[in-house]
Amino acid sequence: MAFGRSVAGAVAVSAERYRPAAEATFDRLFEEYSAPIYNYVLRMVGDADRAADITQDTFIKAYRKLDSLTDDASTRSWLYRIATNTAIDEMRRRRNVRHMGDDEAHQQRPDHRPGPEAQVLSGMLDERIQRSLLRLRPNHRQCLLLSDLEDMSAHQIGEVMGLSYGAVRTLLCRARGEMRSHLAAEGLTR
Amino acid sequence: MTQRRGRHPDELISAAVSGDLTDVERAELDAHVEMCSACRETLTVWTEQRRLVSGMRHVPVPRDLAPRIRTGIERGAFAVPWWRRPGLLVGVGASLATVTAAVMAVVVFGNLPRNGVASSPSATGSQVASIVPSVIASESPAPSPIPEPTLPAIAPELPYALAWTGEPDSAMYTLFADRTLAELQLQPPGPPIAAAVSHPGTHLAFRAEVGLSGQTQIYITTPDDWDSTDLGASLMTDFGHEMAWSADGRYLAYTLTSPDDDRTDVWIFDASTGSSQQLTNTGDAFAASWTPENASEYHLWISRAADEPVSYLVPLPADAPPTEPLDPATVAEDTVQGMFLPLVSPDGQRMIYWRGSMTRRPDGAWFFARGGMPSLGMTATPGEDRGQLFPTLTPVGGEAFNSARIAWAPDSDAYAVWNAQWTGIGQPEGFPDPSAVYLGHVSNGEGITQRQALDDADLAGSLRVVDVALAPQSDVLAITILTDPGSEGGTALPKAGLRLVHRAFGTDPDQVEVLGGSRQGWIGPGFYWP
Repeated sequence: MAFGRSVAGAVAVSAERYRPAAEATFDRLFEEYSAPIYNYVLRMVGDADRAADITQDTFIKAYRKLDSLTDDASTRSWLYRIATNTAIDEMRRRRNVRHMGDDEAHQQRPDHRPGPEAQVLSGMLDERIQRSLLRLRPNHRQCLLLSDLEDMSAHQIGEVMGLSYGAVRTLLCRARGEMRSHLAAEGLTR
Repeated sequence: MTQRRGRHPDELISAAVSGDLTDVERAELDAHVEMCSACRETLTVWTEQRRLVSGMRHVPVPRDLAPRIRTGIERGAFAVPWWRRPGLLVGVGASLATVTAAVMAVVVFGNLPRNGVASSPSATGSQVASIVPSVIASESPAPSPIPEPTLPAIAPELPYALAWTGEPDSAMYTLFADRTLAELQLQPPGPPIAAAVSHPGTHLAFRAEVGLSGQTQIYITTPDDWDSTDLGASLMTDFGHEMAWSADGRYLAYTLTSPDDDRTDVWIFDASTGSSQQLTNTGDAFAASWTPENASEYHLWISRAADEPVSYLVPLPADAPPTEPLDPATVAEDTVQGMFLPLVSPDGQRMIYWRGSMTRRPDGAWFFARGGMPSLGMTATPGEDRGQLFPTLTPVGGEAFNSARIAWAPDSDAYAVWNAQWTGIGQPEGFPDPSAVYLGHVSNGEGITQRQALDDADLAGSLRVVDVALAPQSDVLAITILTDPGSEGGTALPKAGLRLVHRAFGTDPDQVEVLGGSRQGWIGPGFYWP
């Protein structure tokens, strides 16, 4: 068969992604979003090293998919979607090998997060909130963080999670209920 | 629409905490909270919760993140250190893995170019001015093309399949064959019901039901990271199921019937840019199939439903699709009155299409109201019938097919028909059967008769045939059947099974394999990499 565009053609399209115009766009993305994405992921997984790895993968994926970003208005949702999916993927892979002793290795890993004395009290509070977050189901945690940490609307959360507006409101409601019980167990709410 | 649980409007309270209430909802909630102390407390507690989460300490980004990303892009792969990937710890003690990794890291990093993580001066500095790697910089040589990821190789006799498994609140899509190959990055709205992979194997399109909404959603995903992109929602309709890839895998053509206004139009996804767009604007257009001989242009058959349907052969430029939705009649290279949904065979020689009079249901779905019959023809002379697909059936008083699903086999000889909605009297009784799958062959000239029905035992336990995919091997079909409708409240998900049927002839029974082994849940649809 005489196809006009072969597999080699598809490869050529890939190379086009690396056009110089991508440079400025990607730099702007990184400058604007690296810190919030890192903090969002950190609260998702509760580990600084893993959060750095996931953030790293997120931006590499974003770079590779830059051509699919056609609308500036959706940039934030697009990037958070990549970050969310990358984090979930990492958590699933991690869950699959938990019995191999990875948790022990994790516990022995030093915490590189900065922790000046002045932040000790705040850090203790953070740890209790973080423990509560980590007890949430992953989709509840995602939804709650996107709403309360990232201040996204239900529509924006829907774009990130691939859910309808109504589904997001239902999910967020359930997440708040679940979070309430975990925070109460930490003595932080009624 | 707000859904409430019990007598307390928790969803409204939650939305109020997020600032997502409409004025009407706000008034409704205010009135309730005024009288309900439990809800007042919930509002107070959830507001405090939000304050706690939003006030968590902001942690600075690790200073080596930018150079790590640069290195990752430069190397065309993810730069997460491999020893941190938990999958690689399987079978190895964690401490041993750590020690080994440290040794390997020295070796690997020792060979890195100077802008690698280990030796880059910027690795200890603040975020660099540009984190895009040197392959983009003008002083660097042109980048080497990075091949697109493709589907993982599997045994050639097996189909790929999507699966939808897990608990109702945490179900996920996976890709599997003889093993689970990947988890798709998507919150599943419901069971997958059709799938089509592009010829290079770089993109997988699939359609999923959206709960009990009567809608479907189309997604595209890639073996790169299995992240999924939503290509649009559609009402469930009698026709318009086709997800047609152009022969080279650049374009996907598909049909969406808008849940908002019931208009049916053709959309295309361009794999070279990752973008999708509406192609037609007539509100009654269906994507049929591509012709495979696209030397400098792509040609897509588009049909408009009507009392007398019409099909158009629409050219698409190779450089870029049209920028605005169009009326196919204004650009068509060929127009065939009375022909609907021509499905071109993979070799481009033949087509199966419909004739008859169409009308539209109140829900917006087009179907054949009178005389709907599928026919066989040649692409060289489109519209000139070379025979009925069901040669023994005669419409009486216009009673014929409302619709049916039809698909070609890769050999361009075999074709399958299922979900045949015949409104007339059976000829003979029970034929055609909407619950049967028929496998016909152009080469034997018989068309579809009762003899072409697969054995009843092939579909044992089937409540409905969901999808049929024909294998590259002759007379092998991957059939997805609904086996359990689940519960309406969503507490139990519907179940489907995937059967691999090796069609036998004469008096021999078909050979059937149940794919997915002991997996529970929704297994299917199956699909083949062409």
